Amino acid sequence: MRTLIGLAIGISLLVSQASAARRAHRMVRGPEAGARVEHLLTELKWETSLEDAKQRAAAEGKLVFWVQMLGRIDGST
Amino acid sequence: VSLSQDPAFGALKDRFVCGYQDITGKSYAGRSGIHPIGGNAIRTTNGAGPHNLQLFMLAADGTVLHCLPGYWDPADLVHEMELADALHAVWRDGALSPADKDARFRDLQTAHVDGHSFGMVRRSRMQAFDQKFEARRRLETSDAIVDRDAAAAAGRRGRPPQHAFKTTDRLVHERMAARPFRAYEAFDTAEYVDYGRPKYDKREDER
Repeated sequence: MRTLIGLAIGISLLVSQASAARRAHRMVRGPEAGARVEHLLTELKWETSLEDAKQRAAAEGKLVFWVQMLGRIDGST
Repeated sequence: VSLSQDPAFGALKDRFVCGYQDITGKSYAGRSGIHPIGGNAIRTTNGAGPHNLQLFMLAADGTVLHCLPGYWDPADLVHEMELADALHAVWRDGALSPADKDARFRDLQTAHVDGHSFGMVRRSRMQAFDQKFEARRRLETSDAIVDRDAAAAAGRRGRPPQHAFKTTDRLVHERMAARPFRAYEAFDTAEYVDYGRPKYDKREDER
């Protein structure tokens, strides 16, 4: 009986640790998330006028990637 | 977060002119908590938070080639960008009539789902709280529901069964197929992104 209880506790701990690891993998902590946003803002020019974006796209032979979002890309969202 | 990660970041840099618009206050905009720069972020499922974020891919004349609501995994996003490229070629093909172009648009959107990898489909499971919302609020009318009996049971109790609902990757292609080559100004964003709860907030900074 003790063996079975021990086994159940062991499995439960393993499942719990695996679940915590999955959650940690999905989370991007503040400093890293901030660095990524900074990278996005400095390496790409972000237009705020769709007309400007369309004109640039026509001139450069590209498509427009237009993001509609709650908040500002360079501020709080 | 996904836009800053390769392969999405490289594709954005090489193939697109990027821009953005704050939709706070728009009729279709959802609600969320405050997320400052430097706050935690989370990798979630494709299509999560459709009211808070929409990623449009447009031709230079403003024609909508594709639109992805919510978060998308970087690799899956690039896969969808490739579809936008194919649709752009159709749009620019002077040998095709408008009706032929629309038909090609619908075919390409519909066929693209069949090319989605198993991983992409898994990453496109609708959030459980969005499934419950669909089951409880519009069981008979939602185009996100495949099995209404199973969804109804889930609406009354517990976690909804996955098979009762379409995955978001399928849902967006079906909805886009009904909107061939619309002008951005004429695109019915409110209807297009309408699935799940208007409020989406994973409270990342409390984790």
